[in-house]
Amino acid sequence: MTSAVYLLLYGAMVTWLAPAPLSWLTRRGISPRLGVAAWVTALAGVLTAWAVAVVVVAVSLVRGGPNSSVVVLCLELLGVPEREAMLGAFGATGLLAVGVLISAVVTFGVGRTVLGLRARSAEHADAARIIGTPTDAEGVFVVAGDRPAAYCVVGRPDAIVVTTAAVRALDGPQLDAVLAHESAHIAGRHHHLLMVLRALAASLAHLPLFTHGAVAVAELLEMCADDRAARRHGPRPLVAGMLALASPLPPAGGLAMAATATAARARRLLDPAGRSTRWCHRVATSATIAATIGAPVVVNVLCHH
Amino acid sequence: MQQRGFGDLEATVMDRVWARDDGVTVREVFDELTGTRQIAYTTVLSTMDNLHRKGWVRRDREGKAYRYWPTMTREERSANLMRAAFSAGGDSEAVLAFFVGQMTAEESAQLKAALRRGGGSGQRT
Repeated sequence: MTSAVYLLLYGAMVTWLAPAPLSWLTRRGISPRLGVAAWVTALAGVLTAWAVAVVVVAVSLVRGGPNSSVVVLCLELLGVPEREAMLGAFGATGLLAVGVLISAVVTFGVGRTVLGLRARSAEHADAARIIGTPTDAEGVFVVAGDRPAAYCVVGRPDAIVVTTAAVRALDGPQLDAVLAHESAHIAGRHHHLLMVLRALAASLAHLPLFTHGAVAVAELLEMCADDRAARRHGPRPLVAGMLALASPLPPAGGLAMAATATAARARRLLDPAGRSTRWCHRVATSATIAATIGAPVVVNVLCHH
Repeated sequence: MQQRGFGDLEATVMDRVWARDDGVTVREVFDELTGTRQIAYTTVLSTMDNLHRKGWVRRDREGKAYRYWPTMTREERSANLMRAAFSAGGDSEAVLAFFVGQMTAEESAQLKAALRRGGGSGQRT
């Protein structure tokens, strides 16, 4: 029972306290893949902590020993004498019921949302393949459209859509770089991760880690795809492609605007961080990931009686 | 237009449906396709049936067979697809990953200047 309390405390701390440092750490996209790993570790950590806590309560209730519903608060660490609290079998059963119910509702909601998103995505990909004009590149279709745009959509099979306006706006190397970016999304299965994260954010809209995480990971995955495209085609055609396809943002009426995500992506491609900055950043992010995984383990070991 | 892959049978069939003003029968599509690829009549039949089920074509009975017509022109379908892609609350946020979003005119001008100055020409390792 005691470990369940720690796990829930850990989950709550990560949920409410981690978004700010994680956002700060990953905001510049110095190593976007590691940034995605840090966010996903925190999200998975919270979900795992919750699931294990529910299992711990269930197991201790089934075993039913004399200490089954005793919560020992490990306060020696803080220099305070140990305290015990009796929950009673009735309380523990109620707790378990609530835990299982919440888990079931969230799992059902996320599953249903993901399936819905998949179906919509497949339908869009299907339509794009039928309507669009196939090109030399496998899975790339040109669709008549006045707005210059390119996007990819997963389905059976996936499709990359380029509008006729975009084909007119881009020269050869730019188009290749843009297509490489979209192919990187598909090859990296980015959509599948994003659908799950967005479904979680929708189901757990009150938990900041999940809402912030879905947005941050989406931006970082764009940077991952940028890096892959830039490695093959160079950053310049990719940035030129961004300039050609970005839609103009209406002036904000004198308000100082934060940099748009698109401009931030272009800047980091043109002016990448230096070697030492990259290394520092990698070490800091790796340490964050290690701490996220290590914290619950360490606390449980220290307080094990 | 590029030749479509064998997997895109629905697309190939819709190309034929859109190409004809007076509708098509399964037999006519089969006769056209069989010249370019190895295909069974029943495959064309089930593809037409799928397209009908999905609402891409409507059909009228003509003797023993059906004659199929597109429910919308290709242009109408393109416009609908683009509307779904671009409209807020359409497919745009949920399932599509656009290459880029918005940028202010100022940012755009700065980046163009940076490109002219040769920014990004030093390749990263």
